[in-house]
Formats: sequence, structure tokens, C-alpha cells
Amino acid sequence: RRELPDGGARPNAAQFKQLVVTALRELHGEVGAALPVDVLTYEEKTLSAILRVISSGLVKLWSALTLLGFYQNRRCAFRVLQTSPFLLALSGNSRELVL
Amino acid sequence: QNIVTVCFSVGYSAVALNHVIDFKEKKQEIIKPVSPSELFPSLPIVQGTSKRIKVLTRLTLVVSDPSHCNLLRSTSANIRLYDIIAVFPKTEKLFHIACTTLDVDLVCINVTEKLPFYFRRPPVNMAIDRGIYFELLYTPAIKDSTMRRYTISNAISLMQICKGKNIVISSAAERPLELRGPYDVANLGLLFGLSEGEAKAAVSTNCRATMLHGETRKSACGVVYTVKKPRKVEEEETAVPACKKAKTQA
Repeated sequence: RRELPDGGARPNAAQFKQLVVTALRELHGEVGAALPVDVLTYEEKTLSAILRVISSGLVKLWSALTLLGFYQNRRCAFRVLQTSPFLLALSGNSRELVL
Repeated sequence: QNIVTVCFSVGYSAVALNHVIDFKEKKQEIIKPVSPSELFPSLPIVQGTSKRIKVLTRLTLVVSDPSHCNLLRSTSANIRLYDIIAVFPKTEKLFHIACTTLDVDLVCINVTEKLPFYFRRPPVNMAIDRGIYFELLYTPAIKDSTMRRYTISNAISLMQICKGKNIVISSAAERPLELRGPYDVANLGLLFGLSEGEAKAAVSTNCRATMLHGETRKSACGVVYTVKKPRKVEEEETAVPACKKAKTQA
């Protein structure tokens, strides 16, 4: 799950995907941009999304998102809230789990 | 800088996720014999773990001349106010001096331009023995793509010499949007060539060790950090004699 705090621009779903691919291309080149990434959900209100990627590509994707600095000449930041191999785990915060 | 502090605290409390993050504040000075002004009152803010964010102060000396190092020894009255002292050497000789004899906690590694000197193994090993950590900044990598290349290349060359030990990754962020969460930064460590455990340590345990090293420097002999042990240990101890009795009876 990623959250995008922005300066004021609101990308829609397609632009968001484009942003992710651009970030990958800037850091890892064409090979990185070719990494298959799926946007599972995207909420325009909170600017948060759930992305899916093959596990071997996690480091590349994550580092590319971390180092992305600009979107449409405006500063932006990706905040990765949670990563997990299971979709169900994303619904809760596993650190605060009370058994 | 006040605004930045507040923004940082807000940002980290959202991202921290039950991490105890000690936020280091950087007061940067170019070398002039100016006494560092007193710390402005900073607000401790309660986080998700019901622990307050610690705000430390830190001084970075940009050293390009051996005479600058005398500042460290002479104006020690002002330097005492800082928790952590870092040195940013610009030449090979200064790097050697910083690693071997200077009384600092961190040695900053320049990431914004091609290093004018190559790392050599002896001073790096001595620094590791002395408990000095090398610091890499990641904010230039967010700003500019040329600096990104320099960051990664310098970081990789440092890794090759020091084998990933004693590395601290920190941000020189000037705006709240340039800050990244702790796990993101640990992932960047993987990019630089650290192993996974080392990358996480670069963000958490090494930073804490640097803090304690700073306290050690202040107190002039050593620091023993004690943690309360849970009561379970006592019960285990009483259980042992019972087992022994059973053995002797059997």
C-alpha cells in the first residue's frame, strides 16, 4: 500500500501508473520500466494505492518509488505504508496485533 | 528550521509504525570560530508507541584544512552542547586523520560529487575499531539524477572497503517532503550493496550506537545502558534447583 502526499496535483489512475513506470525508468532504466507492476486499487481522494509486483522485483520497485522526487515539476513523496505477500495482511497493522 | 522540526515529527509519527526513531537534528556550520547558539526549545511529541520522539542535536564540521580540526579541541565548551559530532573530510589526509585520531562520532561521506580520494583499508578499519560510523545521505538522490549516480557510486565504493559495517544512512532533508520512512531507507541500503540485515541495522541499531558513542564522548569513560529484565528470569532460576534435585534422587 502506498500513499502519495503531494503538493496539490491529483493524478488519476492511469497517470499514477505512468508515474510508477517513470520512477522505475529513471532509476533502473528500460529494464526497470519493463517490470510488470499492477495497480490493484487506487483512491484519488487519499492518493493511496495498492500495487502488486513479482517478489523478485520488490527491491527495484520500492527503491524507485523511494527515490522519486518530482511529479509535474512539483515535489512529491511516496510513503510505503505496508508491504506483504498476502493481500489480507494489508488490512491490519501486524505490529499492533493482540492475540 | 523550527518548521522543519515540527513537520518531521508529524511525518515520522505517521510512518514510524512502532519504531522508536531518534530524530537527529543537524546544525551545520561552515568553519568560522563562531560559537554554536543554544538549542531552540524543541517539542517532544508522543508517537504511536507512547514514547516521545527524541530530538538530538548534531554538529557537522566541513573540514578542508587540517587547522580546522583544532576547533574540535579548542572550543570544547560549545561542542559539549551537541550530542553528536560529525566530520565531513574533503581530502584524503583529513579522512585519515578523522578516522584515526579525531574525536568524532560520524564521518560523513560526500555523495554530491565524485570523491577526490579513494578509500583505503587501514583508516577505515581503524575507524571501525574505534566505533566511528560512516554516514551516507540519501536526500540528494531524491533531488537530482546526477547526484543519484554519485551517491550510489560512492556508497558502493565505501561498501567494498568496509564490507558494510558501521554504516548509517541518514537524510539531509530540508523539506518534509524529502523525508522517507525507515523501511524505505533500509531498502535503499540494499541498493547500495548492503545485505538485508545490515541495511536494517544501518537505520536502527547503528544509529543508536552512534548516539551512545556521543554520550560516551561526553562522559569521558563509558556508557552502560541497562534494561529492566522481566520477572520471568527469576522463576527460571528457581526451577533449576528443582531439576537438580530430581536428578540426584533419580
